[in-house]
Amino acid sequence: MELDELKKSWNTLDEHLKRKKLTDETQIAKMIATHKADAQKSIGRLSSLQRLSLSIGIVGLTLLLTIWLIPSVFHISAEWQPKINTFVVFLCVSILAGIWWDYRTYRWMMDTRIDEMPIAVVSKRMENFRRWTKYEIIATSIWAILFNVLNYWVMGYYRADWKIQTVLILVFIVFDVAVIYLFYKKVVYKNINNARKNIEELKQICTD
Amino acid sequence: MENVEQEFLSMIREYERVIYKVCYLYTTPNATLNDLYQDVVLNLWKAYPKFRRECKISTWIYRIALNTCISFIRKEKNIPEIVALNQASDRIEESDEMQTMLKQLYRMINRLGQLEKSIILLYLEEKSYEEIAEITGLTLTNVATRISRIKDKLKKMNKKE
Repeated sequence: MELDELKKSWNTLDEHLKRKKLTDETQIAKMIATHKADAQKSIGRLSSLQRLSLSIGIVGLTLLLTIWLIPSVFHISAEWQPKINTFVVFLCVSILAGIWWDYRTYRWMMDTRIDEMPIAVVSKRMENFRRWTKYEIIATSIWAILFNVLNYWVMGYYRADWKIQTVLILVFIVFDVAVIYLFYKKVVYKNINNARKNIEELKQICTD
Repeated sequence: MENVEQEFLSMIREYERVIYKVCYLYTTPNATLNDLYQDVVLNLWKAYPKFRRECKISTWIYRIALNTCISFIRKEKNIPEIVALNQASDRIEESDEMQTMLKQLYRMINRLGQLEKSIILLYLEEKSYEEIAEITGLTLTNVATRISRIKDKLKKMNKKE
C-alpha cells in the first residue's frame, strides 16, 4: 500500500464517518460538568500542596536562622559557631534552591500550552523537562554526598579513632548509595520508557 | 445549558470527523479510541475560552488533538511498537472489505514515528504544506522533505511485504 492507496483508504474512512453519528452530546455535557467540578477541587488541592511546601520551607528556614542568629539560647560554643554557620548556609541554600527549582519546573509545565504551541515545540519542551529530571538526580546525589561530608566535619568525627571513623565512613557511603539508588529508582525507572520514546521522537524532530 | 457550551458542542459536531480520525490513528491497546476522544474533547473545552481565532478553527483543533494524542501515548508505559491490528478497526463496525482496508491503513501508518504520523495524517487530510508547517511547527522545507521520506518509507514497506 503506497501513498495513493493510503489516500483512497483514508477517503473511504472519511466517507464512512460522514454517515455515522459520532458525537455523544450527553456524554460531552456530562464531561464538561465533571470538569467544572473537578477544576475547583484541583485548584484547592494545588494551592494546599503549594502552601504545605512553602510552609515547610519557611519553618525550616526560620528554625535554622533562629539557631544561627541566637546561639546563646542553644548554648552553641564559639568553637562550634563557624561550623554551624557553614551548615546553616548550606541548608538555607538547599531549601531556597529546592523551592526555586519546584517553582521553575511547575511554571515550565504550566507554560507548555498544547493549544497554542505546535507539536514540535511541545515535544522539545517535554524533552527539556525530562533532561532536567536527569540533572535533578545528579544534583541530589551530589547534595547527599556534600551533606554527609559536612555532617562529618560539623560533628567532629574526624577526631575519633580510625576504627570508628572507618565504620562511620562505611555507614555514610551505604546511606548515600541507598539514597541515590532509591531516588534513581523512583525518578528514572518511572520515566525510562517515556525517555526512550522521547529520544526517538526528538531525533525525528531535530534532524534536518 | 449555557451559550458557550452550546457553541462548543456545535463546533465539536462540525469537526467530529477530524477529531475522530486523529484519535483513530493514535489508538493503541493502552489508549483506546474512546479514551483519546474524551481527552481531546476535554482539552478542547479547557482551551476553548482562550481561543482567539488568530488561526483557522481546524488548525487549532488539529494542534490540540495531535498534541493530546502524542502526550497520551508519551505518558503510557510499555506500549508495543506494533499494535494489535483489530484494536482500532474493531471500533468501526463495518463490512469485511472495509475492515481489511482499515487494518492495512492502520498497520502502515502505525509503523511510522509519532511526528511522521501527524504529517501523514495532515497530508491525507489534504492540508497545504503551509498548514502542516503551522500545525507541526516545522519549516516548509522540512515538511516537504519529510513527506518525500515518508513516501519512500511506505514504498519500501510495500516492497518488503
